Amino acid sequence: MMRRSPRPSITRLITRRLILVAGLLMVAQVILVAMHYGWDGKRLGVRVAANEAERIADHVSTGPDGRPVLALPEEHVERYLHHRGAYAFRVIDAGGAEIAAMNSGLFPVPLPDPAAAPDLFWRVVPGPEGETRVLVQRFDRVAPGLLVAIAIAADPDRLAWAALLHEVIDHVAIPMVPLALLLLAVNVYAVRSSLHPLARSAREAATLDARRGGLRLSIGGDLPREVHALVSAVNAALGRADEVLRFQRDFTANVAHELRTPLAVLLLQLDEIGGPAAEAAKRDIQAMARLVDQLLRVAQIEGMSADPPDEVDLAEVGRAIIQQLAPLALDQGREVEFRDEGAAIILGHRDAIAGAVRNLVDNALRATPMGSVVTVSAGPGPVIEVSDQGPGIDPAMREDLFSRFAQGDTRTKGSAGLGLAIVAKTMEIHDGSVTVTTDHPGGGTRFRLTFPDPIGPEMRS
Amino acid sequence: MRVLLVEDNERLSSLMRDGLARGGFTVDVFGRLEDAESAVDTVDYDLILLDLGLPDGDGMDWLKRFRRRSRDVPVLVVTARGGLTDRVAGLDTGADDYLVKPFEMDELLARCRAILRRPGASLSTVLATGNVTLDTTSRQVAVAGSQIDAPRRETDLLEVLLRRSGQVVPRAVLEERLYGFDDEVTPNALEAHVSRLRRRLSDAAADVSVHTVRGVGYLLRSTPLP
Repeated sequence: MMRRSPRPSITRLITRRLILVAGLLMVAQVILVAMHYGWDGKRLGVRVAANEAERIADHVSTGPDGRPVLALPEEHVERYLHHRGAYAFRVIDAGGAEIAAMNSGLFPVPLPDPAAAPDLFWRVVPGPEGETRVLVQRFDRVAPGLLVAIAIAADPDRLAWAALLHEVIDHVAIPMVPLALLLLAVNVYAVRSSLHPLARSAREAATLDARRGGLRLSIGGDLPREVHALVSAVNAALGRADEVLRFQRDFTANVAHELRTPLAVLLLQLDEIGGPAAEAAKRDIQAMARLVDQLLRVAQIEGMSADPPDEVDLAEVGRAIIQQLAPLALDQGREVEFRDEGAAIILGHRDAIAGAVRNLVDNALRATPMGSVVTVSAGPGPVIEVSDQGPGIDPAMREDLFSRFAQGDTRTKGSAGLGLAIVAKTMEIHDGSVTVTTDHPGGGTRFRLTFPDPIGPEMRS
Repeated sequence: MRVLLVEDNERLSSLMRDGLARGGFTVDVFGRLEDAESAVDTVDYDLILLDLGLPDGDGMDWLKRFRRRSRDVPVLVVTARGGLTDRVAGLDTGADDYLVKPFEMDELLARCRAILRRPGASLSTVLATGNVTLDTTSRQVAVAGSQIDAPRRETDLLEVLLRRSGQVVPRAVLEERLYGFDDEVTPNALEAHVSRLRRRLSDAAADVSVHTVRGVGYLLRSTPLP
C-alpha cells in the first residue's frame, strides 16, 4: 500500500522546510538591503557614480610623456555616445588639465581644484529636467592628483538596478547560500542517522508474518525514546493478538469436548436400541462427528499458528497417514501406498499438515474406483502429493475447489468441500501452496502441497 | 477382567459400563480423579479407561503421576480431544491407546481386547484373529484348530502381525523383531518371509490375509466374507 502512494520522507519534509526558511531569510535580507538604499537615495547614487568612476580610472595609464592617458575600450564609450544627455565624464590630471572627457556639457557645476579636491566630492544639482548627480573622485593610486568626474542626469542603462543587484549578491547570496547549504547537509545527515533505528524496526515489522504468533520487534538499546514507544506499542498489540489466538485454541478444545461427548452418548444409545433405523441414525451421527471434527480443525489451524513452528519430516507424516488409513482403505476395497522420493524436513505444524494430508487421502479414497490405489508421495524437496485413479476433476471446477464449502462436483460435496478448505487454510499458514492437476483426460487427480524453505534433505539423518 | 472407568458424563459412563459388561468386563465407574485414585490403591484393575477433561483435574496430569509410580496397568484414554498432537502427547505420557469420542461399542471393546493382548497384560498367551491362533509360549500355530508347521521366523512374523491385527506394522518394526544384530539381512528377506507365510496360511485355508502397504509395512486382517 505504502509503495503505491509514495509518501515524502521525513528527511525530505525537513529539507523542504529548511529551504523555505532559508529562502524567506534571504528575501528578508534583500528587502533590508533594498530598504537600506531606498531610504537614502544618496547612497545608491554615490555607489552608481563611484562604480562608473572606478571603471574609467581602471583604463587610465601613464603615457610616454609621463602624463596620464585614457584608453577607454569601445563598449565603455558606447554608453556615453548613445546617451549624450544622461551620462558624462571628465578625467583631469593634477595640473587641472583635462585628459579626456565626453558629454562634458552635462556638468552643471564647476569641478573643484585638483590640488584642494577632497577624496570624494558629491553633489546633487536640481535642474529644469530633474536632478543631475555629480561625483568627483581622486585616484592617487593611478596617478597622483588624478580626478575622475562623473555626471549622471538620467539612468537609461539602469545602472542603479545593476548596482543594487551587485549589492544583493555581495551582501546576501555570497554569505548566506553556503551557510544554508551547509545547514541543509548537516540536517539531512542528522535526520537520516537518527531515523536509522526507525527504518530498521520498520524493515523488521515488514517481514513479520502476522499469522504466526509469539513474534515481537526487537527493542535494542540504541532505539530513541520516540521509536522505542512505537515499537513497544506494536509489540503490545502483537501480544494481544497472541492472546486472541490462545483464547481461540482453548475455546476450540472446550467446544470439541462439549460437542463430542453428547455425540458419543447418542451413538452408544443407538447401539443399545439396535435395528436398521438405529444403524441409519448411527451413520448420520458419524457424518456429523466428522463435520464437527473438520469445523474444529478449521478453527484449530488458526489457533495453531500462534505456536512456534517445529521441524516436520514430510516423509514421516506421509508414512504415518498411510499407516493410519490403510485399514480403512482395505475396508472400502481400495489400497494405499507411500513413496519417499527424498522429502525435506520443513518448519511447520505437524498436526495441521497431517490433517491436510488425511483430508486429501479421505477424498481420494472416495474418488478412486474399487481395487485401485491412492498414493501419497513425499518429495523430492518440500513437497507432499496425494494422487488417485479416479475420474479427475473438471478444470472449470478446480478454481473454486478450495473455497470453504465450495460445492462443485461429487468430490466437493459436504465434508469433502470443508476438507479442501482445511487444506487451503493449512497451506496458507505455512506460506505454501496447493495445486491440483489431472494426469490425463478423464482420470487421476493429483493434489500437490508445496512448502517453502526446506531445512534440506541432508539433515535428515 | 476388571476395568476402571473414569468418566464424568453420567449418561456416557453408564452406557459404556453396560456395553463393557455385555463384553464380559466387570466395570467400576468414577466421575472424579480423586475417587479413581483411591480405587486404584485398593483394587488391582486389568485396564483403566480414562477421560481427560474431568471436574477435578486433567486426566493427562493424573496419568503422568500414575505412571511415575511404575504401575503396569494398561490405560486407554477415551477423550473428546482429537488432535494428532493430543494423541501423541497421550501416548507419550503412558497411555497404551487413544480413542476419540464419539465411538461405537464394538470399537471400544476391540480396543480394550487389543490392549489386553499386548505383552505385559495378564491375558492368555494365545493370540487369535479369524481362525488362526498362535500360542506365544509353545510357539504352536493352528488354523481352524488344526496345527500347522511354520519355521521360527514365520512364526515370529505371525506373532507380531497378530498382536497388532488390523493395524499396519511398519517394516522397521518387523525387521527389528525378526532379525538379530548378527543376521545378514538382504533387502528382500522380509518380502520372502511374508510371501512364504501367506502361502502357508492360504494352503491351510486360513480366513486371514497379510496385506502389503507399499512404502510402510504389512497388515494382517480377517478376509471379509465374500
